[in-house]
Amino acid sequence: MRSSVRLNPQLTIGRLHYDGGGDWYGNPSSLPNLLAAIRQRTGLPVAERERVVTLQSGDLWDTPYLYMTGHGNVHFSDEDLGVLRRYLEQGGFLHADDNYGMDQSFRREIARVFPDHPLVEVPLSHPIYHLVYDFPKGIPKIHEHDGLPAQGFGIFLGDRLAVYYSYQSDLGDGWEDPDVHHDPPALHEAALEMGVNLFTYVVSSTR
Amino acid sequence: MTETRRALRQLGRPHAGARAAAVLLAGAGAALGVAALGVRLAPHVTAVVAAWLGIAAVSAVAFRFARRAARSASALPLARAAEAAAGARSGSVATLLAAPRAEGASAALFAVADRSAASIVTRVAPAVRRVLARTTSGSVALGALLALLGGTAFVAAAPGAGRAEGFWRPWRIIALARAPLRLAVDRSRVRRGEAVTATVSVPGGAGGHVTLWTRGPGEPWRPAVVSLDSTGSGARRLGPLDSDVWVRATSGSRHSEVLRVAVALPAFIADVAVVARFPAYLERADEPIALGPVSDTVSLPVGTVLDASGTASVPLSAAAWRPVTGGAGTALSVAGSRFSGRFAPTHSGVWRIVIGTVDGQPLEGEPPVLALRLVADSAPVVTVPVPGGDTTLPFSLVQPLVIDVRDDHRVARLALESWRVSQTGKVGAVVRESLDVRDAGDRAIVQGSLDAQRRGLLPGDTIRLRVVAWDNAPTPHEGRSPEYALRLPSREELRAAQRAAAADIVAAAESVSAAQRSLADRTGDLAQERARGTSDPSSGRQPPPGQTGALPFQASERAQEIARQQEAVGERVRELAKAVDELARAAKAAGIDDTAFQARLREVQEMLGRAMTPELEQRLRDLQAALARLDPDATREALRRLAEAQQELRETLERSEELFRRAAVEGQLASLAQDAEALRGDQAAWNRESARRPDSSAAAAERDLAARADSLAQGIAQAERDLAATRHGADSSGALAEPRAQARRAQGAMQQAAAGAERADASGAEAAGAEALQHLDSLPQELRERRDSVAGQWRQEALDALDRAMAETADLAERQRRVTQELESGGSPSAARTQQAEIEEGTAAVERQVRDAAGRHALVSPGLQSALGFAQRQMRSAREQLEQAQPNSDGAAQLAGEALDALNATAYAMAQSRADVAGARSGSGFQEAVEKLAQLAGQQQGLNRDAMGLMPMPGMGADGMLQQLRALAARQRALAEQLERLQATGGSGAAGPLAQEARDLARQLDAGRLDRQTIERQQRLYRRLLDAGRTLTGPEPDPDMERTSRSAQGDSVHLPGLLAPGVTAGPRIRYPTWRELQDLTPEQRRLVLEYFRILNAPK
Repeated sequence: MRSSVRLNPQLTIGRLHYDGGGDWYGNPSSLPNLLAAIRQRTGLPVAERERVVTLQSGDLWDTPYLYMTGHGNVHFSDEDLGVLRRYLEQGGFLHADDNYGMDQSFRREIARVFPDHPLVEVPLSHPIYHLVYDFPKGIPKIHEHDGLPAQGFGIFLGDRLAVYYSYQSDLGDGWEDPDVHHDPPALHEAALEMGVNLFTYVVSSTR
Repeated sequence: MTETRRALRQLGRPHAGARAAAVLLAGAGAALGVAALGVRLAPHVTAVVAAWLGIAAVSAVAFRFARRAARSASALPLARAAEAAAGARSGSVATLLAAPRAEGASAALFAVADRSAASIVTRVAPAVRRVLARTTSGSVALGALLALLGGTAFVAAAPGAGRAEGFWRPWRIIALARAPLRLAVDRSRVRRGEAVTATVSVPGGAGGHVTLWTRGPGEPWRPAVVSLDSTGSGARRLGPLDSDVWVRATSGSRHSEVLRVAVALPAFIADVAVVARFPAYLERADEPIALGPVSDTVSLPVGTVLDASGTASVPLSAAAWRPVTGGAGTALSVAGSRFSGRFAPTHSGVWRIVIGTVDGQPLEGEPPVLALRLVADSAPVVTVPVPGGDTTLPFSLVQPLVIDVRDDHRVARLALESWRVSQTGKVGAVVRESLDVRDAGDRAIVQGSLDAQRRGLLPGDTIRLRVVAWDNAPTPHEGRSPEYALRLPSREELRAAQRAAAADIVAAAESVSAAQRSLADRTGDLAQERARGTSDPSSGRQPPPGQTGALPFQASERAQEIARQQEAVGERVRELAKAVDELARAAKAAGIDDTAFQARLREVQEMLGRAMTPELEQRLRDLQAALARLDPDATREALRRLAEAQQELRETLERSEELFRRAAVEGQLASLAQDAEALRGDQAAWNRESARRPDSSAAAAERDLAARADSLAQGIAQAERDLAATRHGADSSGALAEPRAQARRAQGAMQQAAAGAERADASGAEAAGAEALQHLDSLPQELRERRDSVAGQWRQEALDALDRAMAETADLAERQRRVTQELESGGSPSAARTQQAEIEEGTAAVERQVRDAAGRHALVSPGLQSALGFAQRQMRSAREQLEQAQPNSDGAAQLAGEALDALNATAYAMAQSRADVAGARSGSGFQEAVEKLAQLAGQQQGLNRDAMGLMPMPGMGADGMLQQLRALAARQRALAEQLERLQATGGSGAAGPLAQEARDLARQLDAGRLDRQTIERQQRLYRRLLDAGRTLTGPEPDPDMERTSRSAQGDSVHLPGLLAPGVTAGPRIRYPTWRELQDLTPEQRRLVLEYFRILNAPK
């Protein structure tokens, strides 16, 4: 018999445990730091730690903000593709943060998820750049990679941004404890502010 | 009277009186007691009356008992007492009290008896007296006691007090008792919730009670007892009253009149509503504002009107908004108990609604107040995050801008203002460009650019810019950003940057060519592997059972990788084209307006623009689709076709690389010539002005010129190296040795001049300066001549190569004709086969020459290679027909004939290409093609105009219309033919599809179909003709580059563009939301979403 009692899971970020060999577990201190920043700056009652989810786990559906990062290959099985697409279509949000080398495989896989929705560059006027903190020049650049500027790509489902792909920015590194990468405080702060913007956008636009 | 009676009377008389007095005393005491009671109860009417009645009764009884007491000491009782005391016979004394009345009685006898009895009485008199005394004294004592008690009580009742007045005047009390009750209330009209005091006065009712009766409307009377005080008054508090109340008092049969206490409603304001109606331009909905005795400060935009209305509980005489600090207010209209009106506050402050009632009744409570803060509409706030500060214009002279503008209501207009400030400080006119901020709301982030190329700026000039924004107020407020200065680089800086950029582009072009070459090879290899693996039965490799036709995983991965890399190369090609475009514009801005160089850059850009042909992109898509379907046959075919297209791309890239390399050298030389020109001018100026006044500053200036001469020499040396790197460039490598040497000599002379100036040696400085000028004098011209010479040499190379190829093609065609004739006439197949093989080999050699020539000149049509390739394929097929065990001479003859046609066509096209190359003004021919396209666009525009004119042509007959349309169709067809010719000569790769579209349009017009759709197609064709050759942009990093990580430094900014229309177009039917699905099981969610997906699936 099914229980009629619904658990009310605490709001948090889901770290996507994907296949393909990439280090999905990278930047371990990043999400706790981001969650702390969200809690302190927005008052949203978020958990202290992220929740590790796979695309086949039931926890996915209680996670409005799915975060994936890594340096390596990403692969979604056919079942994963369907689940991820459904998850995003019904209001979920995926933030893919290229942490070094994920670009090629992520673009390939997300094109499999949404062959009919291309990754497009998110315009400066989008709320993710202004919701809580202002980023008039777009996504901040935290780590220098190939001398290329940071870019934020996205997939829009209707007028909702369902997938955000931070490229050449390394937000996750910026969220980490400052002594991990020894980033200047300004960059650490910029990364957290961008993360707060993203999370706030997600929880305020989830349909 | 008898003696006896007399004796007895004497004996009893004192006692009779004493006894009567005792009774009277007792009666008096009793009467006094009653009187005391009456006094005490006075002015109680009943008590008083009863008391007096009691006194009367007591008095009567006392008198009666007094007589009776007196009789107890009369003759008869004494006679009997004497008889008893004397022991005589009863009646012996008593009978002698009166003379006998009977007839015949002896009087004497009676007298004797009388005396005898009298003697007895006398004898027993003491005894009787004692008995009598005893009783009498007792009675007297008792009477005295009672009298004393009564008197005491009477005295104690204070008969002299005021209260006793009623007792002493009972008739008055009785008269008052019959008078009516007096009832009064302190107020006959009270407010709800208040109380009244009812006072009852009862004349003569002191100390009594009355009943006070009250009732409300529709209620029964309710009694309440009110005690009266000594004055006969009593009071009772009634309330708090909610409604009218009626009061009366009763006391016995007496009653008062009925009084009504009316409860008046309190005067207060109710239902007060204040609605803020904002100025229309704010487009804000009306908002209610809460009022109260204590109001929070409400902020309102200036111009807001307050619409107030309300109802009072009483009729009103006036209402108005008034400032609490005093001063004039704004009257509101009053109707009955309602008030309403508009109020437009003009200043901040606390305002109160002041109400006057008709009856003057003050209002309950505090009147409502409204604390207002009028907020003036603020001007827009404008910032320009990019560039965000003063800066130097980029090499392209196009400064990207990001403008962030905010307003408290709405941004209505935005304009970029810029003006030139010359080196001398002269300020130019302000140029204002409007920026689109429609539907921006209260904030807009606008991306734009400031193109400084069109401003006619001179080196050293500064562009100053600011952004001005206006809001949507009726009198718009203006906000301005800070001013930013954009410094224009000097021409030397621009030229140096242009040369560096050209070098970068050369390197990038090399990299792209190499990548494409590698990719084409890998694609070819994979296509061949696939072909061998599936079609070569001799390989002996059979697919595993059950997997026939399956696409091997590794092959699939490699094919996917190829597709991805091809896309990446495509992006790089487009990037390259953009870079060339920017270089061309930057060079122009730098003053390098050398038309040949600009034309060469346009050629390269054209070539790169069309390198990624629609065919290649289509084949790439085919491959991706085949991979997605895991279809091995389709994948194989797509790979093969992609490999062919890649080959074409590779050749195009190689050609463009070489052409750009040459263009870059031309540009370098032109740039260096201008540097030399500028240097010469500066040296001449130094000679004129500074050499005659040699000092340290003159020396420093001359040293700067020497450094520029050194830089010029180095630039010429670099151009030498770059020239040598071009194909066949080694032949011209020595052409720049002399200019370089001249620059060095000029540098040496300048150093000497500087030294002379330092020594204050005017003559030495002048001489050395003159020498430097002499060395520089011819240098610019020499550099230009070298550039012309190199360009002419390259053109001649192309012509020579074409001449050779043309001669050889003509020879090959002649030989092919003979082979064809032999085969048609039934000649020896083996001999024909040998000859065909030789011609085939010769054709391949010609193709190589053509490719070589094409790499030197853009007007050498790429179509030549295609035609030669076709000829080769036909020759190969013909040869294969002859190599069979049973040679097929007829088939071979047909194929050989087709090869002959191809060779003839090639020879013709070569002749045309040669003429094009020889006559090309630009030295490469693309400029002519572009001009031709522009000319055709003009023709198309005329066609469009005429077609539009035909659309609404009332009155024209059907025949006339058809005739007009046919004329249009003929012109459209002619345009299509010109496009086809342009395509045939290889002038423009875009000409083919355009020609096809023109043909289709001609057919439409021929058929008499001129509708809106046809007009739109014509318009599109016109635009495509204008846009032919434009390039796309899209930065993409090199995926093969090794990546390193470090904290970001500097301000590496990439500004995303706007979203393409339609990107955010939603599904036809909205999907269920997260919340809507939250209570479903995962399986239910899946089913629901699947259902919606089917609904939204494209039909």
